[in-house]
Amino acid sequence: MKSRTRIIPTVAVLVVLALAPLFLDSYSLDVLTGGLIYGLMAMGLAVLVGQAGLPSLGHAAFLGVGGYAAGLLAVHVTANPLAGLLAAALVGAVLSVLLGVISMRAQGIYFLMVSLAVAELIHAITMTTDFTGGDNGLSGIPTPEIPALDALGLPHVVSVYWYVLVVAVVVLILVQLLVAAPLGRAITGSADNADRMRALGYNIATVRVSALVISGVAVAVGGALLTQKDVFIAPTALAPDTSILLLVMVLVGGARSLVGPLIAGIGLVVIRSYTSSTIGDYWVRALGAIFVLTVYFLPNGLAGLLSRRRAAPEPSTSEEAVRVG
Amino acid sequence: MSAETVLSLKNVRKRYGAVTVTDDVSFTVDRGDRVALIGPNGAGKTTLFNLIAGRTPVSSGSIELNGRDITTSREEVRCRAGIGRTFQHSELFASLDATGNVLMALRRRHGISRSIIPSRKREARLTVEAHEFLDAVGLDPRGSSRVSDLSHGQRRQLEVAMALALEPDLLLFDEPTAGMSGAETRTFSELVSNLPRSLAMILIEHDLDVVFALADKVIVLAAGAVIAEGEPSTIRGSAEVQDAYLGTNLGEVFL
Ligand SMILES: Nc1ncnc2c1ncn2[C@@H]1O[C@H](COP(=O)(O)OP(=O)(O)OP(=O)(O)O)[C@@H](O)[C@H]1O
Ligand SMILES: [Mg+2]
Repeated sequence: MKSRTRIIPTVAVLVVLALAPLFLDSYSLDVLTGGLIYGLMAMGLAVLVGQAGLPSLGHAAFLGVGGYAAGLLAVHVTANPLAGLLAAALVGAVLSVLLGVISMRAQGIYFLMVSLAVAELIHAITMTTDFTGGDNGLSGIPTPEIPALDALGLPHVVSVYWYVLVVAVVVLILVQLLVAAPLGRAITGSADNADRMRALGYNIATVRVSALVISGVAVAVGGALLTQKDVFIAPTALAPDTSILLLVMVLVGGARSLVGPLIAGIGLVVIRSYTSSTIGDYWVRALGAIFVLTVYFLPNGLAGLLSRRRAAPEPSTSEEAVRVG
Repeated sequence: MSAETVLSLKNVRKRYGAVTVTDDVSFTVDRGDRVALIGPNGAGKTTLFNLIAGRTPVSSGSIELNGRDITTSREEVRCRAGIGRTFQHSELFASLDATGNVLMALRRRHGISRSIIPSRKREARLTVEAHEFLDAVGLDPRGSSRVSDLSHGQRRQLEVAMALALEPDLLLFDEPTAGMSGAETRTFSELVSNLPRSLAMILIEHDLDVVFALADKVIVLAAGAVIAEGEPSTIRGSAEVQDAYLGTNLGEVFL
């Protein structure tokens, strides 16, 4: 069975990740924490791009609202990180529904433009509002209190790392379950053949908004984690380059997969962190090159590379939709 | 009159610009009716299905399903209200296998299409049901082949299985046997003649043998208008109908 052959490598990867604080210095651990967070967000975006067939250039908006929600809650109400995640998820869901309603009839390039416009609007709001700290960003965020981990007397980077790892694994499992559930099948079905779905009685708008909510909540939770890790968030975090970075992570990882984008997210963050001192501003060009090379050599991303070694791909998640006449 | 009316069309018109493709069509279909809709290419048969199923809006007139006005209802709403159809040009999920296509219909009909909880047990139960529908139309359920591997005839069979899986009150078949082999067509005819009389059916069909074997009422469409309507035997002999086909023998035109 496919599910059994996957268990061993999955457990192995989890064990290695869990033990990472033993081998890594605190800078590397901080980089890996960031990688996990971006991986989590890329996975969330993959639900929309790969499963629902709606590429978005505006997901930095979700990072932003999630990040600011968690930050503002910590500043004004509580430093409990789980409350921050919950607030981020809630705000992410609301923004998803709003974006869904605005872009109800928009698809393809139109959806791309609407998502970009919404993200820029939120970007502009964070830059000009005093409440969010304006251009300078939101500072004075207290460090998250993680009682279970703090009690162990661990260095802060380690507790934050483990906290992020647990959240990332939980979100990955939840999203995997959602995708396997009937709602997930409806989401892939609407990307495959929306007309057919309508003729079977599915409301495509609802299905698409559901996909938006799943991805929006995941990315907002990622934004909250980022704020909690850095105890800081600034408008630059939700500039258009973040949206592009997330989309590239999804495509490099393989949009039809969830684990692929997660790995690509970790990988690209790690590469960026270790090359920024040497290549600096050339990072964007390097990212472009990575993207072009992936599209050319790995049309199904890293996930395509992995599944080539496995047996037959799952019927509902492989290959692009081809209309039949 | 004891029969319940399932579908009722009143003065339905469809215009594309200056062109009228559906011209003042009125008829009713009762529970248990098996209606054949025939007419030359471009007569407006598929358009009429699109108007009934809600893919295209009418220009004027009204449509009722089970006594409810559905003239302006969206396609998915009409489907849930009891319309199931097949498409002349197969519309299938290319990324799924045959079973997956039928499951998509079954999940919706069982009202679990928005469930966020995956259940292997439930999925296994639905898969058994999906296989029954595939079996019924003559597709091998275990040959879990992708849509792209299916022949034209098999795709039609799959279309039929999906429409049946919706358990509709009104079935719309758009040239289901086009592309089917002789054996496949016989399986289809048998299947339709065994369908419960609790549902109504409209069948667009060019194979007149199939029409006269299955239909108990024939509607003839030409240039968007109903030019004849009645029992198969009457239609077969109607001079008016023969005229519509340029004086040629009906059978020759279609076959
Ligand atoms: N979207 C459209 N815009 C303009 N004209 C259309 C449109 N759709 C259909 N028509 C025209 O309406 C007429 C009826 O087409 P329709 O497909 O309903 O015929 P049909 O009876 O199903 O033919 P066939 O036997 O070939 O399937 C045709 O002349 C067609 O060109
Ligand atoms: Mg037609």
